[in-house]
Amino acid sequence: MEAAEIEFLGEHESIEIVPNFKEGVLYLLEGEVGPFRAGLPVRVPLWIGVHLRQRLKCRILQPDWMRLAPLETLRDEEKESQFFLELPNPHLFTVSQMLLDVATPELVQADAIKTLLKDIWDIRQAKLRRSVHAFIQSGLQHAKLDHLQLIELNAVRPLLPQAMDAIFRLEMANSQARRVASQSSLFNHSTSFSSM
Amino acid sequence: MSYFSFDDILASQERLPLKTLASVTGCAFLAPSISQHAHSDDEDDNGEGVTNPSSDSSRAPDDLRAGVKMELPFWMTLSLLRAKVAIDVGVPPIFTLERRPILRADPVSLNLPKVGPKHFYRVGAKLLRFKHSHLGQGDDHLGSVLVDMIMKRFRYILDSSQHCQMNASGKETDILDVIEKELFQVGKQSRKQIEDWLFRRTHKMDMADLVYKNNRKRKAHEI
Repeated sequence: MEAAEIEFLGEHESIEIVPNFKEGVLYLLEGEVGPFRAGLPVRVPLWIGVHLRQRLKCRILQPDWMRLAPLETLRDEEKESQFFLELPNPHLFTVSQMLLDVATPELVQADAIKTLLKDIWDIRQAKLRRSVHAFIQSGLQHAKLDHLQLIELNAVRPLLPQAMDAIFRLEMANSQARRVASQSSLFNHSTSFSSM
Repeated sequence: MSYFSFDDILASQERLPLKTLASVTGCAFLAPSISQHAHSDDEDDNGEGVTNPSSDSSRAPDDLRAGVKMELPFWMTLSLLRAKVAIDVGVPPIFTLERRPILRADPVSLNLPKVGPKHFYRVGAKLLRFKHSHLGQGDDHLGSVLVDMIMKRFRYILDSSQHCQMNASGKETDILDVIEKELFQVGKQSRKQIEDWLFRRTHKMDMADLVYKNNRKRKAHEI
């Protein structure tokens, strides 16, 4: 899966915008949007918000979680905790990335928020790397990670299964060899070929 | 390990040291340098006691003598053993029991292409198919050592692929086996994707990698 695809999934989160035009209800496949009244906040899917903002047709209202104070506490908690914490939005990183992309002027303390988000991202990536390593060392077949976002998982997605595959193949060869060896310990010290 | 893998086929070309235990009928072509001098060397060989005198006297010119040491590819030794030819097959030096401590001591600092065959893990896994005193017992068993090695080295692959310089063909992969190099490339690739996304480069349409490679400036004489 590519980052752009994950971003596409994140575009269906809803956000609040303040339009500067008047328009009736839009009937879309995913539901009704609107009506739009100039100056009145309305909830729309993110992709509409981004689209309108790029045409300067609206102002995006900062989501509650995307403020300095909650993000700071989130970062501190994330640093303390051994496990992944549940983030306030299932697509937090993609959504904030898109908002920072188009709506930086109207976001309060956008720069500080950007830094905080990167901090949280780095902390979680370090945790992810650590748990991937622990998982490989343990030799277990499956693991469960709660509250991990798609985009974060994508960072290790191709590498982990391929490494598991390589290890699994070696383990198969190993266990097969051992089984054959234990069956006929008689020939252990002469070279002979075990047909498998 | 896998039938359609080119790397696997290449790995089966790894040469293994072997020694004939009895004379092999009609197989002198396997060791041409020895068979050419066979008649003149007969006296010397008997003196050294390497060859088996009884089989030597009744030997036809295209028979392979007993006690000849040579190296044959893995796939050939396999079919010779299947045909019940009396040979003693060894392993490449790094896989011997004496060198097992090297593999077990600190897998991460081992330079695999240097100490062993290019396809280290694949050759190792193939050797497991022999019932062999070199394989070892318990924790020293080659199979367990290989699994242990790749698990320990995975950390290095993961970390270095996430932190290496993006465009430099770094020294990180120098110590890696073919399988590990593939893992490294995959890790590097996924990191590039994430980084492109973080720095908002995914939306830009760009030339394909192949076009970039061939898109150098033309020299004056080429126009």
